Amino acid sequence: MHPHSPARERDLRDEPDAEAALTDLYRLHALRLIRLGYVMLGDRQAAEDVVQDAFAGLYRRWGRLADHTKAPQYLRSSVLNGCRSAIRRNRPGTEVLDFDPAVVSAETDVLAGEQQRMLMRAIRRLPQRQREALVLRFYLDEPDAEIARLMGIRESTVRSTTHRALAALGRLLGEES
Amino acid sequence: MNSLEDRVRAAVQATAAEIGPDDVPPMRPLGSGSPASRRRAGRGSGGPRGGWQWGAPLAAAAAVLAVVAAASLLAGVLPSHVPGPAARPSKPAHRTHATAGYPPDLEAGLIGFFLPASGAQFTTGALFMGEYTALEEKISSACMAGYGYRVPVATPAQIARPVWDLTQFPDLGAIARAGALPSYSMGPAPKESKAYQQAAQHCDALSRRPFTSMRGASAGLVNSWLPIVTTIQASAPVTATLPELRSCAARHGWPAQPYGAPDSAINSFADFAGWVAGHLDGAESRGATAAQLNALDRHWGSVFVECARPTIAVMEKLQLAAQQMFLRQHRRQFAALAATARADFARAGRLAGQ
Repeated sequence: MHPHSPARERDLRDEPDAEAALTDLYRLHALRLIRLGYVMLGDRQAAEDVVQDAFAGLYRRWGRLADHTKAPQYLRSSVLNGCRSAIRRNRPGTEVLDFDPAVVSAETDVLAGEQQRMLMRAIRRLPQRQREALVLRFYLDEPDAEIARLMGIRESTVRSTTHRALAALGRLLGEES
Repeated sequence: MNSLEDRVRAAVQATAAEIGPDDVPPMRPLGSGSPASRRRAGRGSGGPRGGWQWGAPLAAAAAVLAVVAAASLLAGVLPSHVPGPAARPSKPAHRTHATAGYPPDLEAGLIGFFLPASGAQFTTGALFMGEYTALEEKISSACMAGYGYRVPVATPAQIARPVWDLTQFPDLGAIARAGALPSYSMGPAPKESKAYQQAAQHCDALSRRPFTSMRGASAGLVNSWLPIVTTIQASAPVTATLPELRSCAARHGWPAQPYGAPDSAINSFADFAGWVAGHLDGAESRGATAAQLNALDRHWGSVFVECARPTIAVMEKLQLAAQQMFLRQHRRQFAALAATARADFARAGRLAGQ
């Protein structure tokens, strides 16, 4: 049997340790992934949804994952893909997606301050690719090489995209970057 | 902390920190194949391009079962602010739903929605979902009018449009007719005040009540049908079509290593559908223009139909045969589901003012 045949996949997926492994992964990574989705989408429910979808997808592919230690990377890529799809669905022809004020509690609102919310609103007005580059760099602290891999672009493009994103952000905020 | 970079870092970190460890919901049951994003009656907030995976009714049914007890306590008790006829939206109801009470071919709709065996059935099921979701929207819209908000009601066809499943039940006929793969085409989310959202939350919950019984009654059947479909789609006759699928895909530009890994070939139909969907979804983030995206949709739409046809033909033949047997074996349960659905449609129709 080919190691990656569907039958093989089914066999592995049926093993009880697949569910146990996924449960462990969820315990370890769900919070950070939901936060990533939330920063990208500005919607708590949508963020939870893309993360749940990512875990369901990983479960379906578990048997075909040659290296299970790469599961966290797979999940992160899946969450980013889910965010891209959600953004694409929600705003064709426009790059505007306002921060959803309903998801900010009054307490957080006070703590975060108007400046932070203005900044997040501005970030979410950036083109998707620029926003993604900023989030990957400033939230996940990923190096250019990893951002390039996650976004499917060259490292040099990561740098220019980030530069353009900061410049655009500065303009949106009425200041120089 | 003065530079813009520092402030961006602080802002995204602080925003992320709004989600605390206690906010993480439990992991949903694995293997249900249910993109969670369909939680609102499958409309408007769908999953990725792979569309609405067929497991969604299963998840919906399971979720509904959990709240049936609570909902039953409230059933039939409308809050005092629910408006009467005078407060309903001024937009006239569509006559097709207003007169029918329930879709004319309810059984076909139920099969397509809960127990599909083909892409065409899945499309019928999506329209069925559109029918009952439109009723839910009417109820919700009337409720929102009581709060002073005018909320338009979508038609069943509008609701059904973004509901598809390329991975398990692609409707090749519909894709061929459209000349492109399905994609979402919704306007930007409207700005909503906190008061609006609170009203919407209440009215949405209210509108979901009438079909609670139908969703709950479907759970057993869906749970029994799911493993049959899964088994068929991984069976030898289906996998025997994969070499042809691989060569067709390669002929039309399928990359040798689509994910940059040597073992990322097409090992199932889902691999093929998933890559096509991901390739198109990812194109935008790679900077494709609208024209380029349209061209990609058309190109991969025709490739998808051509390459998927042999696999889907085998898959659907087996599934349709299994479905006939399944329906014979579960005749009584299905009849009960249909009766429940009729009652739910009648109740919803009354609440929607039809």
